[in-house]
Amino acid sequence: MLFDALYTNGTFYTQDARRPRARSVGVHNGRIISLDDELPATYFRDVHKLAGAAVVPGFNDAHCHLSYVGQALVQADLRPAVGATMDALLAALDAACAAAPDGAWVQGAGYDQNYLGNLHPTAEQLDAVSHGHPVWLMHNSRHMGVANTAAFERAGYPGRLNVTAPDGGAVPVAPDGRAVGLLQETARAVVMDAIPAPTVADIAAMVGAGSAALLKLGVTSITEPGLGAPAHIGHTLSDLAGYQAARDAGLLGVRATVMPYLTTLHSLDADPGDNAEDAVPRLGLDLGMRTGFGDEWLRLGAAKILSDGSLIGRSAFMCCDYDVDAAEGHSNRGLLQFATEDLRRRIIGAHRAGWQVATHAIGDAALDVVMDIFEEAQRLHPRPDTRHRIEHLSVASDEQIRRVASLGLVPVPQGRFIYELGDGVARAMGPERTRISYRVKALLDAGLEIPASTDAPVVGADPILNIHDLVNRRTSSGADFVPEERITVAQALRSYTVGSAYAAREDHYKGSLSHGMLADFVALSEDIYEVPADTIRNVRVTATVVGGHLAHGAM
Amino acid sequence: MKIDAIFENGRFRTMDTARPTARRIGVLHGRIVGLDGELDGISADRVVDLGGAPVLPGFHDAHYHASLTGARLAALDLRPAAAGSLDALYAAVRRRAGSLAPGEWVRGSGYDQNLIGGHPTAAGLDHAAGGRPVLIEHVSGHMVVANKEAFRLAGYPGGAGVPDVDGGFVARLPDGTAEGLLQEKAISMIYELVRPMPLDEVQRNLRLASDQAVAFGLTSLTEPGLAAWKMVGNSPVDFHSYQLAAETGALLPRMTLMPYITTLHPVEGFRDHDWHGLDLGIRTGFGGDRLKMGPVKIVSDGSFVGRSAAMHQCYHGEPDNKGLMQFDPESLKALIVGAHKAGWTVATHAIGDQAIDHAMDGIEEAQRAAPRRGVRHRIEHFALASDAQI
Repeated sequence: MLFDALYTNGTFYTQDARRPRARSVGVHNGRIISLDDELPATYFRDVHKLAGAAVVPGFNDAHCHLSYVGQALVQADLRPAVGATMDALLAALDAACAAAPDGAWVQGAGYDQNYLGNLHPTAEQLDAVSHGHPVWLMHNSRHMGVANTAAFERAGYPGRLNVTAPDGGAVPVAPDGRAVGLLQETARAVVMDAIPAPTVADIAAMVGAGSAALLKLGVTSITEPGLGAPAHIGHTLSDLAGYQAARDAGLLGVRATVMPYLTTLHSLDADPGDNAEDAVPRLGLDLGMRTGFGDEWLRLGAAKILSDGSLIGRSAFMCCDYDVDAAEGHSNRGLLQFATEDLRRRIIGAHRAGWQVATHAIGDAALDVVMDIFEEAQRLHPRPDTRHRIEHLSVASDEQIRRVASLGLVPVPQGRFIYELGDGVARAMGPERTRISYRVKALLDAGLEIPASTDAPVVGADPILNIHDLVNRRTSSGADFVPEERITVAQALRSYTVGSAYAAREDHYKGSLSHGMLADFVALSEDIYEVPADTIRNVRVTATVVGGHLAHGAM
Repeated sequence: MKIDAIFENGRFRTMDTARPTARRIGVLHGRIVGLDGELDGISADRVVDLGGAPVLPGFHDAHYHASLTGARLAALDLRPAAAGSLDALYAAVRRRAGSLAPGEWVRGSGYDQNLIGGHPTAAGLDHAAGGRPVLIEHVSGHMVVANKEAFRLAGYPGGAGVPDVDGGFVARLPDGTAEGLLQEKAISMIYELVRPMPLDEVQRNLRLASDQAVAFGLTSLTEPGLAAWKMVGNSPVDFHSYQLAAETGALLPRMTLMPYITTLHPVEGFRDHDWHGLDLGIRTGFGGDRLKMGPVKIVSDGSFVGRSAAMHQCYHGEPDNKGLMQFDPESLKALIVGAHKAGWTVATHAIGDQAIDHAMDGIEEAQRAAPRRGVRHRIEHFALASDAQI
């Protein structure tokens, strides 16, 4: 009898409290079948020796826009690391345009005018390297971008003439009456509305690129938080066709749980005796497909909806004015994206139809609104173990956290936000309110099982950096960010494995290295449990194994 | 380390030409991990002695209406063995009606007019049912007989004013009123009165069907048509119902589910072609080894036993009857091509040789328009076919 593979001579941190360490893991048909000496090496076709390397279960990013990570990769990468000067940016664009298929739009993203002498590229500069393609480049804020002349022409403005700015947007124009190229805020739509929707193959390519990049970082599972609603989150109305095509073509190497954006759910006249007069109608997808449909590579997760905005953009809905705005003498406590009654109807309707529901709530006022709705949903239509989620939960009092726990909700925080966004958040919130921002330890102290996530590509996807930030909580300027909310490496590792599987309702077969569980694990350059806390970020993933097969790196 | 189970002392026919027989099979995590000598030295949590029994892979019925089977198990049995004549059928209806509250539906199924001397009539069913609405389903599932009370509930008192239906047939008395028999697309005017089916009734039906199926040795089933509850399926949320039944263990066989074609809709926003699909673009292949999205199902013609399958030549003794197509050939072709382009495998019910030709025309055009390999489009039933067609 020959089983598939034995991985031996490693230090496996199994995340299984009953058996927290192992030296060897035996794998067959993608699952773990043995630990340590339960099966001799002679019973395995392949034996991989790990030379003592530390190994943890594969990182599971519970809130990761994989297809958008991939989109940035298939487009021209113009971030400062690549486009450090205007010449470098234009050279990168030149190469992308030379390689693009005839007539295709060329898109790029990530440029920062702070690195370009405080100048945005102009349409004429882009024209010189466009090779005839229409070109659209998105600024790193994503709130503005620049287009070339061919793009304006496709949008109905030949010669870039007669372009007017819509309300809430700006179109800088030269003395000769031509738009210079920059389009700000709502004016982005002037050109972006003319960009054709992606094809199934385009989305499959994005998924493939995202998958390959994440595997190198040791990510073996993700939950993509919102697809199918281009007006909200998503590329097209049929984004899952792109995921299926990627999978059929062997391009999906990361296990994906996909959250349909909740606006894609619609009414279903399911049961004639179903609707009492004031009952909230069920909302679902065609055929009644819902959370759980799928397999261990591609499945439907929770339905996702945003309740409020972003912290860094000061649109998250707070109990009190943002410190920055108050100091400037005007009131701003952010806003809800949907009217409360609309949010209530959508969340309760999805709950009734058997969905797990994931609601983005960043501000503490948004959190109260969302918890009220989840509580009412459960009261009207009791369901056991729903594990409804609160994405981000960025600002929360002790009392609110206690309520999260008592309602059985799952919070989904992001450690990496602290490094990349923390300085701006501390300014926005002021010292008092910062103390209850981006809390993590408080969630564990309340007895919650928490997942780990990055919200990539809003910030970087690297799990090692995310863990570093969960443990150290220092911003990019080096400032401490509420150090009392630091957690241990062990707690961070658990959240990235068992915790994320729990949040996706997959903990019965994923997250720990024990008999029958999926054989997903990563080998590390150093033992992340042993290195000094402030050097965690230097640990590297040396090998990524998914379903027992080596997907990246070497043993 | 032990594997989950060893089944030994059996006479296994493996269906694997490289290794056609075995005496012993080892199982781990639901999969076969070894045969015969490969299991030497391997121990298992459970060892089952099969006592020399012959063993085959689990049966997989590629076209099995599980929820309809369950509904029939729960309904009045009107198969010829249970009701061998029209009189016996009416007597059975009378007995069932007597056990129901006033106004409750009498539901029965399985009759075959070829064996009991003719179709029941609305008048005959009225006489038996004591004022209750009656819906009797033909064994083929492609026709029903309703009584006048049912027609009244549908908006046609006394069976008067029932319109002709494209792709369907309404049997009429000399005065033009409905005689009772409805075929193909004409069925929906009555089905709409009893559908969507309450969800707990769907769960009950699936459990009844599952219990029977596993007793028959069926480990996998392909369900040919769901969610278009006016014609095929139980309710708009059939996938939720099957998910729930699988999650709770009420439905044990592995299920491949075919949505009915009318559940697909146009989806804007793809620039490479028109997209005819479901929300989020989910199509054939989504799902796992317990529950999976299969082909999309189209019913192109009728039934043999009901003499509504579409033929090139007339039925024996009925010079004017060549059956009927539920979709005209151009519409059928467009449906097949549209679904094919959107990544679906298409399963087309085609019983008569005329329907088979139209289905094959559609499949040929689909592959010409958008070549895809390995798609395995299907023709369900394929009941009357020449050598050339094969």
